[in-house]
Amino acid sequence: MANAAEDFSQFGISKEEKDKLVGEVIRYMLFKTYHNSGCPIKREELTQIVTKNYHQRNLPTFVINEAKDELSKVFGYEMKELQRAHPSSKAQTRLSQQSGADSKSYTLTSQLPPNVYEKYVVDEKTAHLSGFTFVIISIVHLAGGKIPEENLWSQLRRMGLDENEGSHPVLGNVKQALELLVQQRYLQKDKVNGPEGSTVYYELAERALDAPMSDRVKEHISQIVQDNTSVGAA
Amino acid sequence: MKRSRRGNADADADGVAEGGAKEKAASEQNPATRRVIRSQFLKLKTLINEKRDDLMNTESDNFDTILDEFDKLHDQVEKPREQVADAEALLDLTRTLFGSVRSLANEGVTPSQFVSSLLIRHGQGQDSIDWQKLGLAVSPIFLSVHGSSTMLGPMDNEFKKRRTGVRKHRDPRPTVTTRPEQLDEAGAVEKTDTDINMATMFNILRKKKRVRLENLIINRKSFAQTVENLFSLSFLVKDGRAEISLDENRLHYVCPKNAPAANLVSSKEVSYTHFVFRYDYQDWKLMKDAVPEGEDLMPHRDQCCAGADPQERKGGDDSQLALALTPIRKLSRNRGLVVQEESVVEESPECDEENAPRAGAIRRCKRKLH
Repeated sequence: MANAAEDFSQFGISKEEKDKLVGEVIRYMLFKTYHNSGCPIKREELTQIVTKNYHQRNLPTFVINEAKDELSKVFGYEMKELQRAHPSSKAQTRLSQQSGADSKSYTLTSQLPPNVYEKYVVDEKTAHLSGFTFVIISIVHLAGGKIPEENLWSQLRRMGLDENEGSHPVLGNVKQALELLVQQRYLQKDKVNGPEGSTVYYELAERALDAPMSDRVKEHISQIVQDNTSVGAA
Repeated sequence: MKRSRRGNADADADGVAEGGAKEKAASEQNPATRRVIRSQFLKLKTLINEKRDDLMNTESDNFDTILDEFDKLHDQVEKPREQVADAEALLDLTRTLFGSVRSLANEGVTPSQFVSSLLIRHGQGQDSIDWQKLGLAVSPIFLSVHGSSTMLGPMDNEFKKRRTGVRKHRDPRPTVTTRPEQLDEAGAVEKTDTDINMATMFNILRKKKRVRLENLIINRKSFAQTVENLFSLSFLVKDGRAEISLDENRLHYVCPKNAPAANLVSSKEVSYTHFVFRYDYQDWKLMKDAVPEGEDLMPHRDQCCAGADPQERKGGDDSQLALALTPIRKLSRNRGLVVQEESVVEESPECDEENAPRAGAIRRCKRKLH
């Protein structure tokens, strides 16, 4: 505890001021996550909460780290830092142009064990979107991490999802639902100009490439396919 | 010399034997035949797309069948357009194979197989999925946090401090007060011809008390002066110094009035009014007949003396010609405001000597409308 006190004393602010800033960051993360439908929150938005009244150089980083600890201790949420991944075709050109700090963002995920989460936390109102997200990520993953838009839609059509359908009984506007996955950083769009014109590709973005999640997706895919083969054999 | 893609020995031998004949036939290939070749390549591309998921299946001979088709078509290709179609179809096949090889890294499961499995396990009918059921099963993968949907107060709950205005107290500087010299303005403002005309008309009304409108405005000698009289009367009515009324025979009579006080006008108890009067040359002729000779009240204004400027009085053809031209302002659609010189067309048959000075007088016969 004394160590933490020493940490923030270098910024010349009181414990109460520090707690207030940490509280504001936590509050912002919780409410913005709801309002943004789970889209990542940019680091600069959190930084502005601190720099609005305080101008100490490393204070925003300190406050964000404190907020991470508090969210974990109090709410059981992990505040994950995402480093924006660039589409494979543009990786080299873009990397030099954009600094790392600009592309950082944060998401909240539950730290509960999956079985506990499934039993007590799963929201039935938004479960269908989780199903849709899983299907899209799985298709792109099985296509080698990158798939042309046309191929993706041809697979979705087999499941009764049409590109031009504005009001699916469960998912609503399917095109918008797919676009939301891009905003949530599960997918990213990449436009590649070829000899026959430009082709839009979907590839996995940083949230889907996150190792623990990627492993869970693979596990679930093999489970579905194996169950199917065993049913077929029987 | 052309070769089969497979490049076996038989094909080589055939190629050598038929090389010369083929080169000769190349220039003579029928456009219809070429069109057929291109359409066959297109069919092949469609087939590749349709059988995409079946190409890598070891139990299927689709890949060999498609490659044989390619070889047959490739042998018929002679011209660049067909070569492009050939290359595009081959590129499609290569891409499909590349995608299939990449998916082999995922324990050989293709997207198509996965979707088929999904439809069996979570299907609702033939081509639909129970998204709710699937979602509940896979939610622990994402461990999503939904955040808080309600909150007390806005995101930014700081009170805005009221800014207090600070007045600067300046020391009063020493100033010298001076009163400017009062000038006699009587000579400064010149009375326009209309003002003089109005005064004359009001004096007539004061003497006569009640007169026929026709008698008041008519000028037998000049249609233009009759119009000027009508103009002057309209201002008297507007200013509240004259009143027009109808008698039982529906004849118009004009009476003088005291103008309303300034405070009544400003408080809008009294409002100024104008009248609209249609009047042309034919009406003037009719009015001349209706009013007996000698009963016209307004005097004829001799404009040779009163009207013209000293320069205008000098006479001469040039000056008269210049006076007959009145600048007319027109709004041109292309170039904005354009001033054109056009001659004034006189409607009343009057003597030429009178025209020149009148033009000057009309130009000065102005009154500002407030």
